[in-house]
Amino acid sequence: MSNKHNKKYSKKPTKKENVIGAKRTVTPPGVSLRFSYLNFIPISCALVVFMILWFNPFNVKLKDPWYEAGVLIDSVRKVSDPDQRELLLEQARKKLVVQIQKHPYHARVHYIYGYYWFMKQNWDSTIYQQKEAIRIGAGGAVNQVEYGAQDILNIALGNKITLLMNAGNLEEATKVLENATTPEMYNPVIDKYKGVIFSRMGNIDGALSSFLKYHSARPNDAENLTNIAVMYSQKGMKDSAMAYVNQALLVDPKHANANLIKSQLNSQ
Amino acid sequence: MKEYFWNKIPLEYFFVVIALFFGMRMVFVNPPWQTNDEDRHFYNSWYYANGYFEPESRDKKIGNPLPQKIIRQVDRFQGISFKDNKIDKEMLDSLKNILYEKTDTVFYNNPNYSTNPIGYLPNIIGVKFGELYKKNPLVVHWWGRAFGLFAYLVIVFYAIRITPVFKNVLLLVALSPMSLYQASSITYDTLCNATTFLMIAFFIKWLLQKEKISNRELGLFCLAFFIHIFSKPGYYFTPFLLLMIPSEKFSFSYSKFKLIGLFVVIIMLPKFTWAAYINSLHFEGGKPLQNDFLFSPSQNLAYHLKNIPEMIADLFGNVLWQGKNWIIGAIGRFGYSYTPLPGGLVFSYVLILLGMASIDHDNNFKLTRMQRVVSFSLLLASLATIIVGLYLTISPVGAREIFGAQGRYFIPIIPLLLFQLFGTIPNKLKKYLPLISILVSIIFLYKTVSFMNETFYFGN
Repeated sequence: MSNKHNKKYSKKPTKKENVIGAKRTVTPPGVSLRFSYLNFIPISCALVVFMILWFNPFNVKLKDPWYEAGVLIDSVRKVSDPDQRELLLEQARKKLVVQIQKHPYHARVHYIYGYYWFMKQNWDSTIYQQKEAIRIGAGGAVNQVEYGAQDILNIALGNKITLLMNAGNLEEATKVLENATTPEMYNPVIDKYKGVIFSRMGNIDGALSSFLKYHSARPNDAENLTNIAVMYSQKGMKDSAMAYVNQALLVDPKHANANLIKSQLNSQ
Repeated sequence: MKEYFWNKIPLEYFFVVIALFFGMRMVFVNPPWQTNDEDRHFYNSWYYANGYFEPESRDKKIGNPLPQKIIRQVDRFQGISFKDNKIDKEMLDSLKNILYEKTDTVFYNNPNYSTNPIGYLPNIIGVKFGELYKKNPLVVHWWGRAFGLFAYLVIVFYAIRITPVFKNVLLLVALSPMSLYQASSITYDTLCNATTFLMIAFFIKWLLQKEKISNRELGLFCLAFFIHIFSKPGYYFTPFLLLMIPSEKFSFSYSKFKLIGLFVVIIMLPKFTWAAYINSLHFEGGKPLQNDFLFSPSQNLAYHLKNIPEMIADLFGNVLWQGKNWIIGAIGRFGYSYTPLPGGLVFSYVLILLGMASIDHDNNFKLTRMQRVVSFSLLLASLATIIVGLYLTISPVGAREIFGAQGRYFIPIIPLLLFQLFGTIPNKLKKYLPLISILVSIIFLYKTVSFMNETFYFGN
């Protein structure tokens, strides 16, 4: 206990305190109250700090540059003016180039940079950056980056492959698929694309094998079930074809291709 | 002082009744495995309850076998955003009939395989009893939660009982929505928070008492610190409050030096016991908790030391920017931290805490200026340790923003923070303070449980 404090309060009372003391005659001893402005300094300080934290009057915002770039890229989706879109994307690119150089070990930064290239419709760079994101970042228990990266990679891959297949460049398309493989994370969509390319090449067994591999990962994809049915049909295995087309129609009864294949199988 | 009925019954008994009633409500109202990281805390508790003290390495995975039905049931409750989707109570009831077999297991790649069992002790006992009752994941989970709550009740009851003053503040902190929510979950935070409150209570008792401190009580204090430090690292400064107690009160010479030495030894114990044991297993691989960024305290420190003024500005910037979220998180943030209590409730609770800390005092007790300086320094050191620790350890290398910092991390520091206000405003309200504390706790916990029930479940 503080002796100083006791001394402080045992000093001769002032006139004002005498008045309070007179009123206090009815209160039991030991409960007399003497206030000083000093009593309120701690609670006032605490309240000021609390209010500053609660209301953030200085409007402090702290965002890492990679997330600032992410926000810029996201905002592009809401802008229709092409010049404005380009401007926003360029601002994002400037930030991301610096961040990629500074922090090549952050999978999330590659993911955002890949997203930038996706918005620029540069499929090669998108695939490269998302592959990097998966290579560095796959396998975490929380805040996984690999699933989002794989989704964007697959869309970019689909666009790239479609262009090549439409141009009849099937070998180049196969190379692109091989190059997009991620050893750190199985990507079933690559098998599906492989199946499509093999079927266009006339490699029925290769196509069927790829479609079945995809099927084991995504059993409820009606389009893939139809593809398998077509492959079995081309191999002359009508029963198997019918079984898969029925599965496809169970998943999506209005699936146009599945209905067409079924009617063809029935008419055979 | 006139004896009102609420002053006739010691406050700690009110604490037990309120905490037991609302805590048990929270055990069931809080959806399964929805407290932060509770799924993994549950797995760890289950492992220890079933004797899996040594993790294994299989195909670059580190962990132990876990019943498939447990994993399936836990997975059902992950990633629920309670904005578009809620939990169906009938579905919950139906899950109670699924029994798991300990022979039907899969190898679980456990990102938290290195966590020691001491922080989970009450939960482990609960899981064990739960299994004796019914081998159902949900039922065992609830038993684990309930035993965490019981341990919290016992420790905090004792803390409120032994402290001669500051009882109302301790009660309000221990019964804050977030403290009780953590206590009624499977997590090591339960013991971490409870032992902090106990250490603060011992410290205040010894500060006021005229007699010498008994070795038995000092032993209990060290045991509390031991459990605390094994439960969760990072809160190293609370025991050093004992440096404010005059040396004469200790029954041994050079008491301050010996106490500092003892506390340093306790702080180092986890490193030289459990961590050393895990290191001796020489594991490679395993599942990282988070892998989208590089997390490396040494690389992060090296990066930030290149620009110290910016680092300091970032730290203050984070406090200003995230401060409100941290406050909300310390008072009430549920459902894997995505569901905060309404702002008005949190705001009011903080004002009540600050007010109560300022007026809950004993006229005969005043801190010296030096004691205030020491306690304030320890508070600043504690806050700095937490904030800088989060900035360097759980934030990515080079990040300006502190990642994943949650208000619940500050709960063990709240009593020390409020202690700075202790006894500052003299008043005549002392006889009413227990009633105010009891009513405030009941009202806020009632609102909290209702809020959780409405937010997390269909059909209310």
